[in-house]
Amino acid sequence: MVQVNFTSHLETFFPTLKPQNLMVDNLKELMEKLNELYPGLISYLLEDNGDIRKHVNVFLDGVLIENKSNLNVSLKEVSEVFILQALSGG
Amino acid sequence: MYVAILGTRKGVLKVSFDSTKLVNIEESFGGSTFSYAFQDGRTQNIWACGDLGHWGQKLYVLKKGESNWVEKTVPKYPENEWIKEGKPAVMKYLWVMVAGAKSTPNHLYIGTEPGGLFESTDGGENFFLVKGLWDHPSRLKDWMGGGKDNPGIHSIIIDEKNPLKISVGISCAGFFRTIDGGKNWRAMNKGVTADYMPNPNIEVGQDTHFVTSSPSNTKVLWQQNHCGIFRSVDDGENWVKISQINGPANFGFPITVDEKDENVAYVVPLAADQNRAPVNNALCVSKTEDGGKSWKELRKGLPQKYCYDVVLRHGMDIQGSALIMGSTTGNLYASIDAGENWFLLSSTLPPIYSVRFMKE
Repeated sequence: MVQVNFTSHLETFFPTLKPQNLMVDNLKELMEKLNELYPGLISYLLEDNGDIRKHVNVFLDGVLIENKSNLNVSLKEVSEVFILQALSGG
Repeated sequence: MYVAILGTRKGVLKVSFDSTKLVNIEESFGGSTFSYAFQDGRTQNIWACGDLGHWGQKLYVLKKGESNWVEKTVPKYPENEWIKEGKPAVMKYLWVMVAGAKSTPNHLYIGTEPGGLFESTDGGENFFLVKGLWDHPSRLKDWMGGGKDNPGIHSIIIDEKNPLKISVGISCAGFFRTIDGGKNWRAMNKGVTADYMPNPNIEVGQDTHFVTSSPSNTKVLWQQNHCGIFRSVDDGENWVKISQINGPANFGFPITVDEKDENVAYVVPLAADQNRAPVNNALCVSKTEDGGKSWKELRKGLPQKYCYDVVLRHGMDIQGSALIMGSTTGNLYASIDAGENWFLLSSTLPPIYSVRFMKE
């Protein structure tokens, strides 16, 4: 079981968004599961080609995923996934 | 009362004004960037193209009579399509959106970076890439990015009498047309010059900033180009440079044509491509009433010093004798007497990318 927490910014577009506890094996499954719960959410997090968007940061137990092209990251030993965006500029 | 819908750096703004002043501004999506917003005159639905940065490109519709925007599936480039060899095509920017002809009530079109035209035939539920243009033999070798990293389509002209005839303006490639609904396309840039290129008379590679047709005679086309202002009276077969000699009307982005007179048009000149600010930092709208043979400067009510207003290609619109224009410094100006007198609606708005009149 992994807990998924989100930046509050996403609630602008998904007002019912809440932290989730999910049974998933890897990050790809997690994204697909989230999209089932919140249809369309995956297009906010991933590029058309499936990469994590450039300014979306995903942390696994506090460690940032550096390779945004690989979603086959095991979550079996992970207890928390944190999804946020890198806000910048004016 | 006049009403316009704006795409801005900080949301979609619906602006109401009367003959002298701003009346109201209604904000949607506060804080998010919107590249373009417009009202489909057939349905009165309002469409908005979001450029949400971290979250990507998004498309929303506010249907007539409803109070909540609905997110639609954003156009997607098919797998195995390439901007250039080794560079996969992914959606970067929704630059412009237009309604189809009245006789094709479910058709909508979106021009995008990196250079794809998308068409919907089901009222905006689904969009697909117009392959005929994407596969044009010139795209991979002669299209290039101008102010953006990749080529982009910013102008789409639908022929109300013949929906199979569609024209587009591409930066940087030029003016293209199909007469068979998108299967085959022809570059039509004869007379346009790309002064920045080793060969200015290239067929493809022209930096069209915006192109539009005259509502009263659709065979008369107008083009604000990187290298001046051009006009065609033979439906795009030949273009003639009509930039002002020894005057400001030359470089700029928008060009707006009178609804009833094919000889009347407005531009918002900037000093030069390397100095994108009003000439001498004094804002003017240049107007021609004789098809570009002469230009006059309209300045009453516009700032004449310390001015850095840049009006982008979708930043100006016309409705009868009313004109409205918004700048990247967040100033919004209007005129109700064909540009003779202007008044400031607001000087505190976000950077403005598109301004389009609409009906309540």
